[in-house]
Amino acid sequence: MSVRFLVSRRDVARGAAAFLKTVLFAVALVTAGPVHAGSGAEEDSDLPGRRWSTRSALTAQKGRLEIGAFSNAAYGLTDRVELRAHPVGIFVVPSLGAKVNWWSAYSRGLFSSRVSERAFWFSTGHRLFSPSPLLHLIAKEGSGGLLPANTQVPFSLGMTNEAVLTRDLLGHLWSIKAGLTFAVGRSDELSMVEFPFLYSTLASLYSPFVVHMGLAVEGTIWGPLDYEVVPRMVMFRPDEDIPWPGENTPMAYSQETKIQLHLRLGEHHRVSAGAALAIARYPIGVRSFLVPTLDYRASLF
Amino acid sequence: MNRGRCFWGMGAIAALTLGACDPFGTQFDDVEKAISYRARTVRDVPEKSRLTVMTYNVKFGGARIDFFFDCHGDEVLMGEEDVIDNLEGLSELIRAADPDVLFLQEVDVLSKRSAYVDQVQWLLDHTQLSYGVYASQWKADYVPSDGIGAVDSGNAILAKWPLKNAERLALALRTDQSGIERYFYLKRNILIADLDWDMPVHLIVTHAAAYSTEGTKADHIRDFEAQIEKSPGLFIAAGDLNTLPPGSKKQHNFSDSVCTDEFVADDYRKEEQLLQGLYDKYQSAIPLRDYQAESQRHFTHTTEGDGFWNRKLDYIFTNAEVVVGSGVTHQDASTLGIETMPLSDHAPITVEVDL
Repeated sequence: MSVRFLVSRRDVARGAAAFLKTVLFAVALVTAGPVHAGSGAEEDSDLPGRRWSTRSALTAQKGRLEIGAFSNAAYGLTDRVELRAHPVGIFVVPSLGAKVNWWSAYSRGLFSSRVSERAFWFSTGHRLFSPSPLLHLIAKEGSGGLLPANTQVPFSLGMTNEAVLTRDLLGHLWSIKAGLTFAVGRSDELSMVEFPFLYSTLASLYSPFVVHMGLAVEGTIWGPLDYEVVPRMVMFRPDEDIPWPGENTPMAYSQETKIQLHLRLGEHHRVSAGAALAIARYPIGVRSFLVPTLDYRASLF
Repeated sequence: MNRGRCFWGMGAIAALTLGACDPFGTQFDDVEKAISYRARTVRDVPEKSRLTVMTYNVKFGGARIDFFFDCHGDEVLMGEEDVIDNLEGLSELIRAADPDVLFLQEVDVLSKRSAYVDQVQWLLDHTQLSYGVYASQWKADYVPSDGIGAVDSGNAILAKWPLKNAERLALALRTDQSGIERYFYLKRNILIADLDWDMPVHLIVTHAAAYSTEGTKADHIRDFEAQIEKSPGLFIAAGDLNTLPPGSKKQHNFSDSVCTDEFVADDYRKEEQLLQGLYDKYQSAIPLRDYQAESQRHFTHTTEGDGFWNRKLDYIFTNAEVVVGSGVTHQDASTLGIETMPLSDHAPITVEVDL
């Protein structure tokens, strides 16, 4: 049995249309209803699931520190600023991110939450990273060599900026996101890494800028069991010197969806399991790739 | 009810996750339809009774670039300009030889190392040949080793006339590799097709294992021979069989073998009789007695572009009548006016066959 899907151009068009419809629907939902601006964010974390850092515009509580085995650590610098970095990944793709909550508001509209005081949040996310150590790591002979061993790895720095708008709908957080990533220190000599998931991570090395947009839906299913569904689309037009079949290089993309269940184990521990699916357009065509995901997070404060 | 839903949901996730047994698309069925090609401009050529047949391992259009795998250099990937330049050289040679049927080995159709140029289509569009069939012998959406990335490379048959009944027949896999190595490694095959004539001519091409220590190469050659024996009428079979003719004087310690950290691929001392059956039963483009009398004139391979051909690995066999003296190994410019050493690590062979 295989889970590779050969997706036709028509399927891709349908998929893109469905994705856009979903985005528009989410925008309509997220922005519906009268709002009243509020101040402070401390009561937003009253729900146990929301004490953990989320994909939404909500930020971690001031002083809260979370460390994940396979995910970013998060630290609440203030009630409105959350810092993010990966404890292990910092040696592979050194990065430092910040999520800044600029605005939140109450709502008394149809879809207002019955369990949270606040209904709207707007934040921006910013991340500075360097993919160069990762490139050095994968430019090798033999197994694990995703780049030729003779690759001249450039020193490059990338930056991602994104906006996140979140609405609480009946206790679930619905977020829409859009952003841009670009990198300096790109090299014409660097061959593209068409490996699933790394493809989008390193896209800014092969294109002047990378556009990404996505949704995130998070909430509690029952008791200590939370969920998140996070689809996102990363799009970029590869530089002309990147080999691609045919005369014109099309827009490349990677549509990645992550679905995870989180089981809270008391106040300070959480285990997660799920799957991530990437459907991407590579030079060889559209391919899909599914991987299981696992994580453990601990909150220290 | 809820428990049932949960069970099926978890089951579906597990099936999707654990069932991803071919995530990089490297696997083949035992028998598959071959992929058909047609030149952008098809030329009408009447049937004829004498065919010029050519076999050529084209080294994926890599010419004499020193790639990492033969230890002469460290190159892995070519740029599109390099690939097209190299294909220009190959197509010039093919046009000069003007074969009616061309058997190709190591031809790339969608590989990162050759800038994703479809070499079968390119050669059809730049030679007198109009129809082609192709079977992958190495295919992976991504090879996570040595920076190889996506690869689709294999055997092809190109002809001036339409080809039918084209199939890819899987050959045995090596058994001396770990599961993960074997998953990404070459899957050798025999490609068969029939010339679509009133009197069909069965065409067979293969590229036998090079780096096997446990008898896979012998199995491949036996399967090639068995496939020939199954041919209902006239056949022409060719390929890079990766072994020497019987009676070869030099069978190991070739001067161009410079890899030191792995199994040496070119010690042929235990393979003396592998091709005896083929020579005994069928006509060869280069008769065995001619080869044994003057081996050096018929060598077809060296990994060293600055040296000279030092062994014969490429063959054409048929049960049709070979025109006496028509078999030529094109080792230099003396036969077609084009130097072959810079074009590939193999020299092509041509022969004329009366049907």
